[in-house]
Amino acid sequence: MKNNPIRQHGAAVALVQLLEEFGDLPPLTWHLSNRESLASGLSGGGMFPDPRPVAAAWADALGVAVVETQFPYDDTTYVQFAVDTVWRDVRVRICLSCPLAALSESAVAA
Amino acid sequence: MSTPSTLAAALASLLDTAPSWLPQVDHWEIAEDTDTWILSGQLAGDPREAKAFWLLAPMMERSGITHSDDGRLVKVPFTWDGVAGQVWYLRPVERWVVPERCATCPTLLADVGNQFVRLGGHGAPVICVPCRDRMHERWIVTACPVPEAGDHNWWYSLPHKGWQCTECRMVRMDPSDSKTMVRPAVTA
Repeated sequence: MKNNPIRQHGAAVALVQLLEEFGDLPPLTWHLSNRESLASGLSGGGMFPDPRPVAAAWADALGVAVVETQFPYDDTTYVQFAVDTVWRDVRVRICLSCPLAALSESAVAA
Repeated sequence: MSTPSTLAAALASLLDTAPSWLPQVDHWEIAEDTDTWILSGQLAGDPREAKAFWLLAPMMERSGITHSDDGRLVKVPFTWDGVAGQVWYLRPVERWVVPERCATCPTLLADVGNQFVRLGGHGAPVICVPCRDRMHERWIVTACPVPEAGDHNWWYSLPHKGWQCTECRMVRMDPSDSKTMVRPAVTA
């Protein structure tokens, strides 16, 4: 029944294990790309009003630090929180972003 | 109701089995859409429409469920291990970019009232209608005005930016003036 090997299979198996072991973490949208030009492996993302606790939770689980960078887009400054590691031989990259102003608002609300 | 983990397990099983009806997929995605977690994949390779439907045909025949098509996005559903998923194909947008000016004169093509024509498919030069008509008149010219050169059929050649004989490939700025020969043509 197999017609040819599928490159995403390894990433899919890793994702199954990842979600089994860290099922209590905030759910993310997951992408498994087949293109060499894009980050191979697993890419996680999602829309969160304040992504910092989500990124921190995944970073803690995976044993790495969150890398925070700012970038301009459409006259707005955004902040990206990236978690990048290799987990069970599969690259896992989680990128969450939001407008910088949203973080100030959430800090005031808190 | 599917959860991310059940969808991931179904996807891993699907990719491990690699059934013959499954087309190559560029990106698989497990995402939440209006409180429902879905498994979807983008058909690989950005194929043209005919090829896309050819690639998706085995899936359509197998699922027995009518695919959806809103004119832009085609979604073909499937089920695997009790989980519903879909492979989608986005029709490419055909963009016909109009250049700022006519390819053979300074006429601004975007100006109101200026008509233009494209001399072929994508990437072909675009010229204003007066240039088109002028060229057409010259294309009909058949008698070469240069006696020693014999009869020529002049054709305005954009690569050479001059008039080229369809027979001998000679290029001239003006086919009616024998002194304006600029160069022999280098292309067939």
